[in-house]
Amino acid sequence: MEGQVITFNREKCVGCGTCEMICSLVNEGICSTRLSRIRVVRFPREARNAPITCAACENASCLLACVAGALYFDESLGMPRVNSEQCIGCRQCNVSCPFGHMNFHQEKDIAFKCELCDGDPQCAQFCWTGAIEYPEKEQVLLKD
Amino acid sequence: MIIAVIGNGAAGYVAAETIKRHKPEAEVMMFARESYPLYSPCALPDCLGGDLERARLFLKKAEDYRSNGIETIFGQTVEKIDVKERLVITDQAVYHYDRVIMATGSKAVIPPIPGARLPGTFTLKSLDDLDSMLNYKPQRVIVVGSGNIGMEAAGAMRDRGFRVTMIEAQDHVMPRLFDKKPAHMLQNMLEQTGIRVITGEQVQTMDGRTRVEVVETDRSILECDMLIWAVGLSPECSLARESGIEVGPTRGIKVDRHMQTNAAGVYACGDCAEAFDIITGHPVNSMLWPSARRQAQVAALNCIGIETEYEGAFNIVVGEVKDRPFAALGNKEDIHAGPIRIIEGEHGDDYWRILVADQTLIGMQSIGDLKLCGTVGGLIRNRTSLQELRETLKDPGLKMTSPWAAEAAQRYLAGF
Amino acid sequence: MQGYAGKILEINLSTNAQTIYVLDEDMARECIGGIGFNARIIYDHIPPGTDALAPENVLVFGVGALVGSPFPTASRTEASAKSPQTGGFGTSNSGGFFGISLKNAGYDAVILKGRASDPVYIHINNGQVEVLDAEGIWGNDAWEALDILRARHYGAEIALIGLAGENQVRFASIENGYYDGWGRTGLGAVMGSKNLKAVVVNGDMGLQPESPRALLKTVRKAQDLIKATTSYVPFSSYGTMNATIPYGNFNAVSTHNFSRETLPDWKAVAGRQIVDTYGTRHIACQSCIIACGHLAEINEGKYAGTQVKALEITPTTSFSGNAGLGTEATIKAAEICQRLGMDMVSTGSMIAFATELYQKGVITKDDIGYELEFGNEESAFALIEDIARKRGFGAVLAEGVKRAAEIITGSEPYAMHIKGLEIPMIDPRGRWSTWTLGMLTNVRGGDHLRCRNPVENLRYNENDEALSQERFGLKLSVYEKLDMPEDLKAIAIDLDKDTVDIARMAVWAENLINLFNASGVCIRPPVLEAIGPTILADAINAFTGIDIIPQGLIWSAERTWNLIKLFNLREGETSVDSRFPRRFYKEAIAGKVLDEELVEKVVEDYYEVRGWDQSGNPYPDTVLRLNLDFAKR
Repeated sequence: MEGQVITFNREKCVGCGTCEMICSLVNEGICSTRLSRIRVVRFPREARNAPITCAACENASCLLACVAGALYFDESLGMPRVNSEQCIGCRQCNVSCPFGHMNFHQEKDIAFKCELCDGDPQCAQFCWTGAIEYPEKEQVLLKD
Repeated sequence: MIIAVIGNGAAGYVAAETIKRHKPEAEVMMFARESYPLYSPCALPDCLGGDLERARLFLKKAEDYRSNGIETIFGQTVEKIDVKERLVITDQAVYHYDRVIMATGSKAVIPPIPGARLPGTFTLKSLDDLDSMLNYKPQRVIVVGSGNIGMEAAGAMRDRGFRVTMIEAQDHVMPRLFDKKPAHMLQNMLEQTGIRVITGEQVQTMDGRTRVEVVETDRSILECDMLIWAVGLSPECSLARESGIEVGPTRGIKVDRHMQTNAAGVYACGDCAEAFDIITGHPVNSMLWPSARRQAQVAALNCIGIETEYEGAFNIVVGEVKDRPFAALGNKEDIHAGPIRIIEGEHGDDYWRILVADQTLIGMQSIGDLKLCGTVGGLIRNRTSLQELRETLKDPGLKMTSPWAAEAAQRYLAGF
Repeated sequence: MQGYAGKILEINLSTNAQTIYVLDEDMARECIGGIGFNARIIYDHIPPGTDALAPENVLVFGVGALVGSPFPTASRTEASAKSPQTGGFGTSNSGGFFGISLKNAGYDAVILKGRASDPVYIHINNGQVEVLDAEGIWGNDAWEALDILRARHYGAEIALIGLAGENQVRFASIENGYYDGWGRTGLGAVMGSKNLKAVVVNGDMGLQPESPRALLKTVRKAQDLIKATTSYVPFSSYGTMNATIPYGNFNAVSTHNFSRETLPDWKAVAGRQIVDTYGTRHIACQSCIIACGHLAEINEGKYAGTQVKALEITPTTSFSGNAGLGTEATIKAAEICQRLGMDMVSTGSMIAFATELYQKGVITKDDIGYELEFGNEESAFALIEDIARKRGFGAVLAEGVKRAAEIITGSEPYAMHIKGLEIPMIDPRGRWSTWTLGMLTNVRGGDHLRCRNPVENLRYNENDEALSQERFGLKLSVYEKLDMPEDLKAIAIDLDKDTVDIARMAVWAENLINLFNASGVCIRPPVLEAIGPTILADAINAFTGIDIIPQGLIWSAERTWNLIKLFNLREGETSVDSRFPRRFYKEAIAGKVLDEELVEKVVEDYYEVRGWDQSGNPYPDTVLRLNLDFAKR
């Protein structure tokens, strides 16, 4: 997982939402767009779709905003993670993320976010269009 | 290089940590009057309301300082900084420094009125405040002030089953953060939880034999046995004054964009510092946790020679009343002199408004669904104009490079 | 019970009364979902003899059982009512995102009764239901109304009618978002007769599967099965347009009101390569792994700026074949119909019908106001507008072909319908198969979507002399993989002779598709071939926990089909209604006519396999076996 990075080719996304269903199923044991860590923004009139998940910001606003010490940067994943034991459900991180990614779990009263399924992101596993992939960082750099 | 950090709040800790991360060989001495390791003052109301164990307030353990290489000089009061000789003078000793970061924080305001400090009156700023409140057994509680601390304190006391009255001197609750209309909705929500809300009344005197019993405003006489002051925070800058460091018009320590004070080698960050508003550019005391932490990073980096500019303070406040969240981001209606356009909407129980000045997004207030508030916050911080958002909605390329912006535009600004 | 929302919502628009029915496990097992719910609800709730446009008619949206799960293609919702076209069971199936939203808003089905005094729309928001004034929306075309409603109710999925539905055009559709719809059997007219513009749904409460782990494994397996079919790659590239060329080669495309063989330039006008020319992006429904839909964009010429989901075989055959329009005009016609909310098959048929009448001199310019000619797009579009607004002659055509033929003297021989529903796309003279028999036996009338051999070959077009068999023509591995009870498979498919028994396969295919429409799974060929009752049972059990076996699913599907047939019989359908127009027996195309006696014999065989008598009435033991005593005649 170290050295891998999640990539989006939004032109390839057809908006089927399989990633959302799989994500919530794998991570929460439920089928729910609300509890999915990835979301697909759809522009149906022009048939464009954009999956969005954690942008793995450097010096992330969610990290700065956390008043409870629940968010921390996981070096091996390369992105912030939530320590749900420590989260007090204040929603500071939710309203701080400029990508609308930090999510809030109403029933559990805690924040949740994409944590790449601990290094094997199932959205990429189940995405059949090639819109979501989890390649080695070097491959991405080569492409660019 | 020896760097003294004065204060062990959010700003102080982040400053120390940032220095050690970027320049491990730097020596960091942290001074604090209290001996507790870092705790979260923002979570005090959760603890007061019984939602959170006291132990969970602590964000660091004593050994974290050691393992991060931060020398702690706790339990001493810094009395003066000799900026010429580069000395930190405490009530017990004198220390040399090369750079100093002031992160002295703020204190709760208690207005100079008769009876203001009677037994039974409290502020909710520190762990000691919390402990004394938890030991106090009231029946009727008055909370004066309706900012985020007032709101949370009132909710916490209500959750513990006490009768709570909130008094706000302005004509609506959360006057620094919310415009009138959403503030009235918040007030209704508070009242539905059983909190009595009084607006437009100024507390004038307080009276009681052994403890506070009566509070008089310019209109009412109210009975209580506990009063919580939540009328605001003021920067703790007596040390700065004592040391000849300049204090700005907001009574915070004046700093430049590198968070440096007028004295060479002296930086300030967090509640004690006077930063500037990201949108208006005006001097402000942000008093917010994320601002303090960002300012601390900036101060620390500049301190060790990594030049960094502060982006400016941005208001983000979020809270909830009985599981219904609300948030305010950026500026409210009366901050700007010019005309403000308000784009607002309601859906089910949800309400939102976005404020636009000079065709540019400057603020958002939302009750209920907060899903895309963060995105709008990002747009406000980037000073996005309505025109840019319209283009994002039209241009397929832009839509695909920043779909979150298009999503927010589609959600809130369709038709504008 | 998990997986289901567990509730069915009823709204009476006359009284604004709302009733919630709890979905119990017995109903779930008997009906499964989707069309299974609808059949039972329609049978129980519509008083016998009700006029389809009267307030007593009942419109139901029933969501498939697997919708809301990641099971591939599980997106579909069945809408049903008494049809204003056939007078029998009107029903139509659509995908998109409406179903997942409705279930996530708390309801497996919505029953709409009565008639609002003024135009209204319904908003269902995570369990909360409101009937709202449709002022400012009524009178708008579907896309305009969608723009307004989507801005007002962010994130909503919307079923709505256009002007055709408002004006109760008998073949009006209910649109499902911008580009999809419940097209057939005139359900939009029923919605319009209720003064109901839209059903707006905000739903994201989530659905709890019985076994998340088993569901995940089943989903992966189903995806692999679908991807392994030979039709998968072609369908995920060209969608349904793959079939346009073979059907053109068979002379089986409905052409100029079924008056002639396939047009000589058919391949250029409608071959799948037009997807490369006009298609820009793929469009998928919820949980789909094919994305057969295409956004078509026209950048030059008089239709420059057109952007619409098109390039599918059914509208293409309807407009390019039946009405004779060019490629771009066909794309444009799709947009016009989607905005006005009209079934594209029936609309193409009405243009074809009127144009042939005009050619034959049965009607004249005085009747219509302008000239009609196959392929003339201006007059075709004018006719569509006139129909939607019921202007002039358009008001006659708005009645659908069966009723229009009763009004226009001398037009009956040209009215191409079965049971009152205009016949789509396929000319059975050009291709006689399980599929084309299915148009006769279809409980919703002349239509191609309720019966299709899951292992249909598109290479050969061969029958025996008795018309009872079609060529199998596929590899042994396809036969082996086909999920069909082995004893039935052995009878239905003769590997030695390389034939498929049309009557037997039709019954199986109808049951299978009914099961798909109950489960909410799509019938696109890769899915129909790969997915059968075995994996559907696994998926439904993992999602809902109702513990059903594959045979139980097929029993339920068969039961639903029979219940619909019993409803139709109750409402006056007779065996005479299940006949092709005379033209198919009298006029040859490319030298071929159908032999009426042979076709009747295949239909009789089909009845026998169904357990029905020679008039199409289920025998008492069939009724008993299917636990349909309450509906026996």
